[in-house]
Amino acid sequence: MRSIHIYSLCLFLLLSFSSRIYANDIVVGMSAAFTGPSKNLGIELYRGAMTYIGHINQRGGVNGRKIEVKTYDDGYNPVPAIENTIKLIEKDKVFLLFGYVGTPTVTRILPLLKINSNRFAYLFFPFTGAQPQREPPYDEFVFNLRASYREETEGLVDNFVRVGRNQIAVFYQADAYGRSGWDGVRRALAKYGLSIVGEATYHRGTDYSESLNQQVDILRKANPDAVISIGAYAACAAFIRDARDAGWNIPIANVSFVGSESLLDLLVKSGQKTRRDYTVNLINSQVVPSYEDISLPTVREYRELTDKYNPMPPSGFVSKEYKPMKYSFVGFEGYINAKLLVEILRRMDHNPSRAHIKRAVESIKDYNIGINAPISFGPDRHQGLDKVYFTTVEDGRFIPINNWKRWEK
Amino acid sequence: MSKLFKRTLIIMIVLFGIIANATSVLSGWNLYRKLTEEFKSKGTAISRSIADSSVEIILNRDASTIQAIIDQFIGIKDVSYVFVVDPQREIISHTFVPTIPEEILRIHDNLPAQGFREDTEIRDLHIEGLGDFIDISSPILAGVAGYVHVGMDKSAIKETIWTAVIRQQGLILIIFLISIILAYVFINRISQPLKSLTGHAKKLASSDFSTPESAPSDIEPLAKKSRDEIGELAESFIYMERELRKSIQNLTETTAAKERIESELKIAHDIQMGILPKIFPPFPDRPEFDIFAIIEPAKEVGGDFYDFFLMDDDHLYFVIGDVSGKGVPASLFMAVTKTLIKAKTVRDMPPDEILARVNRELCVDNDSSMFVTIFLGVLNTRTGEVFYSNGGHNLPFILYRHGGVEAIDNTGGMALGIIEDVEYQTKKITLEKGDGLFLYTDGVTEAMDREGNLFSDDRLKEFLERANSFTPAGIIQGAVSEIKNFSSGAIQADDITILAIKYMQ
Repeated sequence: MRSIHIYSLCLFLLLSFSSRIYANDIVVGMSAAFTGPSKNLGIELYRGAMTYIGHINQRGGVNGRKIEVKTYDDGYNPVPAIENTIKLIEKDKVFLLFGYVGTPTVTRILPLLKINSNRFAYLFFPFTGAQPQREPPYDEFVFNLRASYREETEGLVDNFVRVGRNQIAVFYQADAYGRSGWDGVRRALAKYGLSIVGEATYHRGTDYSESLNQQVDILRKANPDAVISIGAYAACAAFIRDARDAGWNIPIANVSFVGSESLLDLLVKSGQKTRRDYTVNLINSQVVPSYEDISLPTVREYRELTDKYNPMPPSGFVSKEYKPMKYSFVGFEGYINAKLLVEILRRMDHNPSRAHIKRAVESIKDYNIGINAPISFGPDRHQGLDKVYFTTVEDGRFIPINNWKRWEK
Repeated sequence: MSKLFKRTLIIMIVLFGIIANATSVLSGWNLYRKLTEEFKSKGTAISRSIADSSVEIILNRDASTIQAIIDQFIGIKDVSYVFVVDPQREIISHTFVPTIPEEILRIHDNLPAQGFREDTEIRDLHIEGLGDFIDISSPILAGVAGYVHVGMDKSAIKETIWTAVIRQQGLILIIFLISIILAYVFINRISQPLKSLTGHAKKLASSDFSTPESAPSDIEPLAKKSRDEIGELAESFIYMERELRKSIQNLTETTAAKERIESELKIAHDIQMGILPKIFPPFPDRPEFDIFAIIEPAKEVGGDFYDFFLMDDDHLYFVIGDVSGKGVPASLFMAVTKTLIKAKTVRDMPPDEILARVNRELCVDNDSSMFVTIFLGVLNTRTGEVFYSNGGHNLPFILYRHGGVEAIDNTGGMALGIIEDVEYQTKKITLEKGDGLFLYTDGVTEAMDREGNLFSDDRLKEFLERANSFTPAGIIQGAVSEIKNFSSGAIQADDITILAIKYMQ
């Protein structure tokens, strides 16, 4: 009882100094897109993570410490991302950085991590498959969980080539993210002695309401067998819409970053208006298993906890009009990210120090997180998963692709 | 709008047009050169900095890092594209949306085979649908690791030039408008006075100069206010007007005086003619002689005269005279002379005695030094005897009834009014029935034609020889028309006076 009294006193004193952040809390910083055309990604990633973090906090936290997520909005733009990161490191003095969204943003904050290497500023599980944070000199400051874009695009290219679709065109976002995917496709094709037959770009931030007919025309002229899209859901959905409206029905593949449900949502809504099925020949690569696959224990857990907590979007950024999704690939990825983060924190002692983060992460070996894919980290391995899942749409839902034969040429 | 302003406006428009165009072209050209230079150096700096900083990245790392680097430069003003080619001449990163233009793909096709290159290359590039660019390419590691291309948008240059030119034109336009207003005010200040001067001059034509100036002239303030040529002009106008008014008033007065004099002269003429006997025939009940006379003064009044009167039943006095000089003095002297002759004539007094008496009277107080020539005769109507005396006058002709004409014998006396005690002579001729006498003044023989030839004694004598069978009136009228024919419109210089007598007993 006495120790409880002292504990309470300490708590009270600490509370009086800081209204929100308990000294005991482990504060992680998140800069992501909570506004703009890619806001769905940031919001759902956050909600997925908070489903598990909320659950852990509810049960008393990790080693008696609760996890607090400090959020800033960067709107998917590099400069705000840099500003937010500086704030999080220097002002908020967060324990680690977590849940960043996007290649152009993450690519630009990497030097900040190197500059702050003496403070052991690590970035955990950014929502991007780009190369820079997977390669020297920055790989040592970043821990990735998801497979890379190279792996995603390689998987797509391999499958397309296998069914005789050798002529691959790329539709991509004119920035580091798009370039990363473009580079992945290029490298994958090079294995077969092939090259990209056509390319078209769009500006980051392009809205669904904008026309992408120009890009459709450019790619159509190259007469490809399939198009791989490296973009965000708004632009990619617009591209699919305009291609289908133009009567062009070749397979169009998107990578995980697109935000599959957001993409689908836009296409289904447009389809209802025009009485057209925009989801035909749509392929999405994923870096987490489908949340529909309830044979996986973590999927069951995710659905159960989501139903239970259904966390709100981060306060302060999101307009009230935003309607959170129930389940999503992005949310599930956030959930898994949080679950692994908690496991890492758990492996640190009661008084965790940044200097020990690396050792704790690299201790993860063949860890079963419940998605039927073991996770391993090591000094030379800062990416936990390599598996890529391919999905397509049937009856307005994403289902795994069991057979690529249907796209055989 | 005044004509002067219109003309100035046209000149100003032309001038300002030239200035506006010239300055626009010049400053546009200057701006173009400077901006192009600036763009080139800016682009060069960017492409070199990317090239120098990305050697390692290009060699070791993936395309997305390069993309992240070049994306940072796309935000810089006027940089419209950046792309990086690898040693295989493949574009590994670029910023084109929606796709890489054909012209960019072709850039490297035109390059010579791979080789080392240290220099930054600058070329102009037109991309269909996008516009004109300055393409600046810098080699990465002397080209071994590839090239960085930076495209500077030339439309920004054009835009800047246009903005500058439009601003400049705007400024010129404002200056132009101000100048127009100033010119309008200034020219009005000049043309308004000119207009009022012109208007004044036009009014002058119809103004009445005969009346004295009623009010000060409306251009008077102009003359006082303006110290320039306009003022001087206005002053001369006023001076001219004043002088004109003065001289026209003078003229009016002179004309009035002249008219008065003329009317007086007319009266004098009437009076003078009135003192000469003018009713012909004068003695209708005396068939033994026929007499006729005429006087045609050269001016209103003259110095010639004639007279005739019966002293008793058979003595007819007749006289003709010519006062020296002309006009009023001569006419007065003639009147005096004629009156004296009649007053001094006493019955049976010989003509020389009458002339001497008249002479004496005329010489008294003759300050004007005038004189008169007189021929005086007395016809005895019963006998045909004529006693006569001449005082310096033209000798009359005797007209013989059987034809023949002869000047009468001179009595040798001088003109009257010169010397007081002069003796005159009387001579006598006897006229037969049908003989006559023809008395005249020198206005007859000295009548001139246009060439200045005189009518002359010979011409008169020749005429009289043709006409001596006529009555006195016929002879005189014939002579007058003969003289008029001769002079044929030449101005009559002297009084013409003729007196003719025929003895019919």
